[in-house]
Amino acid sequence: MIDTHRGWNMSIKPTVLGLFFSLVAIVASYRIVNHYHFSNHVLVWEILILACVQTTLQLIFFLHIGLEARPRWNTLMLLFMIFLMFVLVGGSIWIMHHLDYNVMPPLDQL
Amino acid sequence: MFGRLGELALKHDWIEYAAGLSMVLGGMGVCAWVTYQKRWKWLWKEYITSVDHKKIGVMYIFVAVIMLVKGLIDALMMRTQQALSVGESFGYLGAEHFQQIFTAHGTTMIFFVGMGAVLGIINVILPLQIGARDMAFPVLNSISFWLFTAGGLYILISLIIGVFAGTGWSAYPPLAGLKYNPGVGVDYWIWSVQISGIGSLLSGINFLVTILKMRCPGMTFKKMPVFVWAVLATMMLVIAAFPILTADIAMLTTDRLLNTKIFTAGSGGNPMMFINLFWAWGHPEVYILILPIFGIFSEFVPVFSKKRLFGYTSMVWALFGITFVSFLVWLHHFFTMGAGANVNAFFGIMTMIVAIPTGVKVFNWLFTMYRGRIDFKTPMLWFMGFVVIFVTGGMTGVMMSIPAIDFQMHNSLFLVAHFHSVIIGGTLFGFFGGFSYWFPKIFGFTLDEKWGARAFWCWLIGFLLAFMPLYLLGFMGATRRLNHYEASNGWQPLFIVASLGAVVIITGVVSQCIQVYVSIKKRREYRDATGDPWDGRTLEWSTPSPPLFYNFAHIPEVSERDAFWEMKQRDTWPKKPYEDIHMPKNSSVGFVIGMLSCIGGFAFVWHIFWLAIVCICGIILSLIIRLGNKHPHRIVTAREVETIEEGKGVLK
Amino acid sequence: MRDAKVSPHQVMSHTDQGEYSRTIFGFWVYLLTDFMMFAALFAVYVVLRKNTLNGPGPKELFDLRSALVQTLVLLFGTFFVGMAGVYAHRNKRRKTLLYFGLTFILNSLFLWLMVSDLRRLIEMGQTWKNSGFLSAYFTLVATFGVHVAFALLWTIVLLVPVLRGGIELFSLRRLVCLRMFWQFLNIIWIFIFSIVYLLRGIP
Repeated sequence: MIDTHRGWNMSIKPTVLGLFFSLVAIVASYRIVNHYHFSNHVLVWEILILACVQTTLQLIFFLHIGLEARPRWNTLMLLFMIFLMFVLVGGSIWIMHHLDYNVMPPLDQL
Repeated sequence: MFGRLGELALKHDWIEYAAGLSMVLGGMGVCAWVTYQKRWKWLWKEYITSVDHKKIGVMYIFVAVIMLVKGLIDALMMRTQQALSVGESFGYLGAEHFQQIFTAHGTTMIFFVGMGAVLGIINVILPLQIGARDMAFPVLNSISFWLFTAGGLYILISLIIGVFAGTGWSAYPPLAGLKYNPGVGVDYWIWSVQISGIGSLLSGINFLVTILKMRCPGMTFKKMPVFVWAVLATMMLVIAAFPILTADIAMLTTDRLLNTKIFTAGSGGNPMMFINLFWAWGHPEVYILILPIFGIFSEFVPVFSKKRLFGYTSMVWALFGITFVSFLVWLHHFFTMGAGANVNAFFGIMTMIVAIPTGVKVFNWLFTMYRGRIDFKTPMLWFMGFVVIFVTGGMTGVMMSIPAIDFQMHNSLFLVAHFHSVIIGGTLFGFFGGFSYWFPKIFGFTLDEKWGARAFWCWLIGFLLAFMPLYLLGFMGATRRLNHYEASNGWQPLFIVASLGAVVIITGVVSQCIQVYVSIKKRREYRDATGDPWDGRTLEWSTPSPPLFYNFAHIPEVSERDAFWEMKQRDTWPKKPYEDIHMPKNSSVGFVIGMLSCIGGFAFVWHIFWLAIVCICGIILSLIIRLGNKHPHRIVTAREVETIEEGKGVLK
Repeated sequence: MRDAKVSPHQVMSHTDQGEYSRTIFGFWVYLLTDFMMFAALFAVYVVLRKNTLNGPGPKELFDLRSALVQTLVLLFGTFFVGMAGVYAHRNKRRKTLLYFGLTFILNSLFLWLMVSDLRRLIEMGQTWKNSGFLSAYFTLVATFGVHVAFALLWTIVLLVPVLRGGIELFSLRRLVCLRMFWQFLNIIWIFIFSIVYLLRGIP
């Protein structure tokens, strides 16, 4: 028998729940930007956290991550890649920021 | 209609004409020979459309060897130029030609020799070692191979039509950008690397799924051969790193084709970002080239020491330690670019740390040999060469992990000597060792030991002569990629010694060719009748040499590590009834997609856009047709299996 | 024709089960590599977003409402594809076709909206040739658009056998992969919406 992810492959409920959660997250993040006046620093954190939360919910409810039978290869590979994406994006931002500061001329001299 | 392809594309100097001509004559010679032997249909059926991992692996190795010869000729030309081009003399190679040669040399060796050798050996051996009949996705395997070959073809095509890049194999913008290199050279490099890179990425997915999902019953992770662990670690590197390269090159391509300003300085672009992403791929890449080699050594060192591998658990931990840390060191390739002390310090420390698990592995191999009964067959010679050269090279790497030292050594010949030590001492020697070790399994007869030893000594002595002077030259201030230098530097004698080394290496290669020739001539004498010429420990040795196309009549059931060794100790060979075997059918889709990619890339290089679009549509159409094929399997009935097995006299 | 009440995967042979499991897992690994590729493009966008060469930047150029509409359209498209996957597992041919059809319609609308947005910028004279910022933006969004276009093509191609013959194991495997692909695209879009559009005001 193939892995039906605890029956979620055959059930409408998770899909509907996923839609609901995503709508909430989207509307929330849109309102945060449009209606409230957070400082930039706080805004970045809020939006990124909401994005990560929505992603996690979509991964679970749409893509059924974490529900597969053991060994949970899907989940493990995902975690591995998420870690490396953080390293790549975070590392690149860190490196490029330092390079910018040290060796790039002021913007008006570019 | 023909883009920017004009007669100027065929204009070359006499050396380039000679190179192109000899290549064309060589190719025509091979075609003539195949025609004379009336083997075109055989070639098509047995190899070109084959989805059998063993055949695909052999083809990878074949292409890698051809590209090795091409790369070595490049090397010889460079060495000769640098030995002659002193003071008043400017050697025989123009500066632009010299630039193309070192670029082609690097690109060839890393992407087509290194990756080809590694992917080839993995292809042949992996399914056999885990008791599987083939890879998880055999047709994808074929597609990967043909994409790899398509990428390699650009380097050869550029000898005749157009020029190759002159930017170095890492093709940094702004030099690689539209402003400074509007011509076709960099575009050839782009499509060569991009297309073969996609092939590698697909292989990464394929081999990863194979290992995780297709091990035979009883083969838990702790019972896998270390080679399989090494391939698993490597494939994790491949799937994480190659997408970065894909994105990086794609953006360089849009900069050149569509005038985006991503890496274009002066227009809001940032060339340093290319370099950053390039090495975020590039560092894992060098580990992709070496980890499978570590796996190979873990296979044959125990066999030729007649002793179990020392420290299985620490070997596995070391592999994953290397994998993990190798993603955290990439900035050491550009310490001097200006990120500053804090950033450099972090990456310097991580680089030092990554050397430690490698040291654990080397000690483990030596401890395996200690008190073993060592049989110095050719593979062990290559391993000893590795210990000497790779370890030295690795240590010079740790030297350069200190940013202060690297500021002196960056882009000097010291660096060049370092990476050649680890790649030749590591990847190439390991490949030669693995090739000698597994040759009888693939072809059914062992290689001639005498010529193998001669080849080894030529390579070892040649390497030392060719590269030890480069360490000294680096200390003396010589930078890499130098077309000419002043006599007052006092460098020439060392360059001459290095050229001599290159010639000795060539004699090593000639010895290897003779070895293969002699072995084929004496193949009856060297025949491997039992399938187990070295008294091996792992499952591939339980098959006949060469294995049947379905690998195993019965999927083995394993209960211990070194499964085949245990089976031999117990000496009971259960006789089970034969069953039907499902095997994939041949498919031409790999070849078709490879060739369409090659033509499409060529079209992009020469701005023949209508042709490029036609090729893209062709590739999509091929995939759709292939995916519409409902019955790509054939069933080998139990009866047929029985006939084949009894016919071969295989009793196990 | 097989009994419509029995789901394809319940009558799979051992060989077929293995193939199903391998294909789905292999496709998931491919999706992870595609995530990594987008991560590199995101890194480039973050690094280059300030390089507007004194031209208009994200705050001036990006229409948040249009982006919200695109987000919602894509989300519903993904919802429908999830439904389609469920009905495919239940071997309900008609419902599968219906929901994949709805996916196709909504996501085509999404693509049209996205392309219109880009066209608007181009007509304003803000092309990818102008600056590092615009290049990074166009590259990221256009790459996403190309993925969507491929997925739309794949949807049509895959529905043909379903239309003709029904959902056999052969199709189910691929429909599930297609479903995963659309859901993957939605996740990427979450980050495009958040980082490129919602955070457009960050200097």
